[in-house]
Amino acid sequence: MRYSVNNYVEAFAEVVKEVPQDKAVNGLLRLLVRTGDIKHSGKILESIHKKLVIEKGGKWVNVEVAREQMPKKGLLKSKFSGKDYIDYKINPELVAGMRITINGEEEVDNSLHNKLKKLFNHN
Amino acid sequence: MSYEIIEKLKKEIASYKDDVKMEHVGMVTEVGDGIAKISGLSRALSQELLNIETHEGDISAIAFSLEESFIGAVVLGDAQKIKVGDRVKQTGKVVSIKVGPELLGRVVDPLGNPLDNKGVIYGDESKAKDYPLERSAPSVVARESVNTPLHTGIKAIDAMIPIGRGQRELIIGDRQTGKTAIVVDTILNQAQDNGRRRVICVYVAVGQKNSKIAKLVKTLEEKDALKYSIIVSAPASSPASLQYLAPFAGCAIGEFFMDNKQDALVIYDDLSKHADSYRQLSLLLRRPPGREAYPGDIFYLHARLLERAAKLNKELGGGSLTALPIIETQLGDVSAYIPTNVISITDGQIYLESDLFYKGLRPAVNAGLSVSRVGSSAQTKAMKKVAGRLRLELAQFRELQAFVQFASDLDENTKNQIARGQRLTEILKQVDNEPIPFEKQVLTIYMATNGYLDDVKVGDVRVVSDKIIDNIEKLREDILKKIRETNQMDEETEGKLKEALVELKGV
Repeated sequence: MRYSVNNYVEAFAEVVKEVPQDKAVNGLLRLLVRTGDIKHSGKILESIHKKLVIEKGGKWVNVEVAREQMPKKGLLKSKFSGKDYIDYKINPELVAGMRITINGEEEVDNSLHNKLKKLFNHN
Repeated sequence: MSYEIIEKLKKEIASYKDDVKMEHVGMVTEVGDGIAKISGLSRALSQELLNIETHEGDISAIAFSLEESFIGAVVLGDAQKIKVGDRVKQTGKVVSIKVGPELLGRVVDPLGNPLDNKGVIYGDESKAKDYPLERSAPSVVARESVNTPLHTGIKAIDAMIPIGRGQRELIIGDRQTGKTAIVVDTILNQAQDNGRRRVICVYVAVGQKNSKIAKLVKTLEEKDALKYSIIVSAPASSPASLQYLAPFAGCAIGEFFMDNKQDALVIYDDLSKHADSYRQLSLLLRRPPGREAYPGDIFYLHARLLERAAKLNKELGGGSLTALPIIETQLGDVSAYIPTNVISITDGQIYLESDLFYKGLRPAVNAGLSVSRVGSSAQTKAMKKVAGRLRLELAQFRELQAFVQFASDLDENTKNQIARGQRLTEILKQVDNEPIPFEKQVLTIYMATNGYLDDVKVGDVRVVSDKIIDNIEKLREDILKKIRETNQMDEETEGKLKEALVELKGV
């Protein structure tokens, strides 16, 4: 990558304060094509989205569940505010249960995988 | 057997408490060369132990650089198992090592894992204490002045550059000048230094060849010195992170014995390689390089390590931790960055010279450039009595040495001084792995400084003096015993010694 993800995020966050968001996104995409970093656009856009959510006072919530028919999304959504962004992911490695990560920093791991790990690492 | 396993598992499962709580996590964003960059974990502490969850199990790392948007961590295991995206968790603990008397006679790595194929170290691990690798040094109030000698068994050092328990004495010299030989003799001598508490020796090998460490272990085993020694090994083949941690691990082990009212000696062999490993880690973490590409805090690294050597006061048990750091110089250049740093931190230095070594003067101690700033207050009275004269006569000899080749043209007094100096130089020579007990050192130096060897040929001085000491040991053991027990040479003992020397010289 020519510039780091963080550099793009910081630059975009500054620009979006001065110009309309759709114009800023167009500009960013053009820049990514020019620098050759378009292949990392998914990661960059997700980071920008995350930054904007947190800047507006919301939380970036990653919910990982072991199986598709796990808790109802609506029920889970009601536990968070409208400013929060909830990202759902199915992760069979968890075996059962779920893992919730907030802002990529704090985590509640209630998965069976974690419980088994704790059980076997316990002296 | 299977019943026992099932019972144990049942117990584990029954006692498991499901306490779900919020944990701080991060993610590996970059990894390579034993360094990992981690995003998140904005509340991690400096030097905190982190747990990287890889597909092949957990790997520990230390939070080294706390940057604005990431953490630079030093990986303590196999960094090749770590992948970008692996989760990282805080442990809330700093790096520590399990210590206990069971460590005696063992070879361990800087994390306390055994390396000697002698099985597990602790029968019951709960009895071992966790000592943090980084700990603040004892305060001024906790200390007292150095007052007990730490005999090395080397005449030149015990007489002219005495080391006290709790002191930091640097051993500095080029490669192959006998730096390690001095510390090995010091370890061996502790077995025969009676009348004082036995010193526990911790040898820390940083960046050494495995063959050298194996040889050292064998020597200690053969001389029965391994039982009061511990070896912390981070050989050249180990990652820079372990080489960086090794001296701190050795120091933590020494501190355990110091806190338990014992005397410990920690040998750091050597801090030049330690500085190199720290430079490697710092450069990989993109810290700004300074002089000789070392990072700016290299002085603090060694200062905080060596400051932990101390003699504790009586209220705290009176234990001590003596440090003997070793520095390897390049072509005798003591003005390089790391040597000057460590010289200024320590309480003196033993300077070994290649020239003296090749002249056959072994140990190749340069008495003029070597100094001990606090050791003289710990020297025994007996040694002080004979060593003062030795130092003076050797200093005079050094000044006159240039005239040795014109000996025939010199006056009688100068000739005598040169002859005495040559004999004194001769008696200070010693072979490896044969340290001499302090009472015998006192007798040898007494003989040489009082002219009992003046009529002996320079080449025969060592043989004659050794023979006389042997005979005194056999026939007048009371003299040696008195010096050993009282640490003094009073008038009565001196009179007896004079009598014995006249008698034995006649023989």
